[in-house]
Amino acid sequence: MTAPLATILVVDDEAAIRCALRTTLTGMGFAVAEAANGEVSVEMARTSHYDVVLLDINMPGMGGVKTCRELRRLLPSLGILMLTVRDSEEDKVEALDAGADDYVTKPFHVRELAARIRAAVRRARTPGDEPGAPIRIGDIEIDPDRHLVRKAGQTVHVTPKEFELLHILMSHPGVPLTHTRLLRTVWGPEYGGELEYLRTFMRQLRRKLEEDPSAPVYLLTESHIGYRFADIEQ
Amino acid sequence: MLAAIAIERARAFENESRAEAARHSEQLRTTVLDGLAHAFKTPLTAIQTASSGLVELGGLDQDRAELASLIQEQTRQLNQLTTDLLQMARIDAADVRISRERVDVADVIDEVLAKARTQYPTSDEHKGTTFFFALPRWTGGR
Repeated sequence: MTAPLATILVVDDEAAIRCALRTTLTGMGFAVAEAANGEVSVEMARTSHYDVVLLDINMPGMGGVKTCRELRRLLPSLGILMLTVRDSEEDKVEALDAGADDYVTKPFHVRELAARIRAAVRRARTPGDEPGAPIRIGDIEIDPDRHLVRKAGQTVHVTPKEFELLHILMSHPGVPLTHTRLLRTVWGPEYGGELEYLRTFMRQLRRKLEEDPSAPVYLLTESHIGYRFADIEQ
Repeated sequence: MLAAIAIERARAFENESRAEAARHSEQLRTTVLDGLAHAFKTPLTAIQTASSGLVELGGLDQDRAELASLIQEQTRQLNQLTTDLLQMARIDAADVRISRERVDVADVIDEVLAKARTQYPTSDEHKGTTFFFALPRWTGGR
């Protein structure tokens, strides 16, 4: 018997969705456990190891966002994917700000979900790099210690703020980072609503790093939510 | 004369009540539509997960794979209808909030183009379009 690809905890109050997910993901090689609400999932996460939690945002009782906050507090390296029914940006932003790594809108295609799960597992299992360690994704490389950015081996000149923005994005490949989080990390805790700053700096970065800045491959926009650096497997 | 005014007032009052009743009934209708659309999403998710799971797990002969794909495609259409219904309910309920902010027109155009590329990946309509970034800033909503 082969070892499972990863251990997944499915948290959803709808039995039909849990059943469909359990059967499919098990068939794809994952080990799957289930919880019907947030309270139970927190207890299960305290006592057993899971690589990734699939967490419904809209549940009675503790609710998805509160559960996410609690799980993140208990297990900082756990992969958390939120399942959202409503196509509401506010919900997604709230979930990401509560510590979720990513979100998938219901109904989803299993292939898309499995890809997101695999990316979350990879991130959860990759030990955090040293803060100054170089990061290379695709053709783009950032070296925080030497304050260098390279594209296909060629040095690209970026401003200090562009550098900081690129660094936080590249430190979280594949993870959507909200406008508020980016602004507060790069500009300071008193910022949060200055979307213009972000748009301007992202536009500059795209001009410098993308082949076609209007069709970016690396610096991706998450409409109304924030930005995501592409997760390109090396 | 007095009788005419009284009748007119009564009519106006009646009309006002009707308008109020119509508004309430419209609100109720959109709330029901919104609730229904949301309720539809749960079974749709289970069906979509199960049917796409069948295809992903493989091992189906051609006929069965075709049937599973048919379920997926029809689920996708039903989901689109449900989403449209939700959006219509929101528009009817005037629950469309515009968040005003300073925007750069070039960014808005880029964002729209990026969405169009995702939705219509095979369309050529957006190709060969160039935008200049020296456009003035406008206050607008998305």
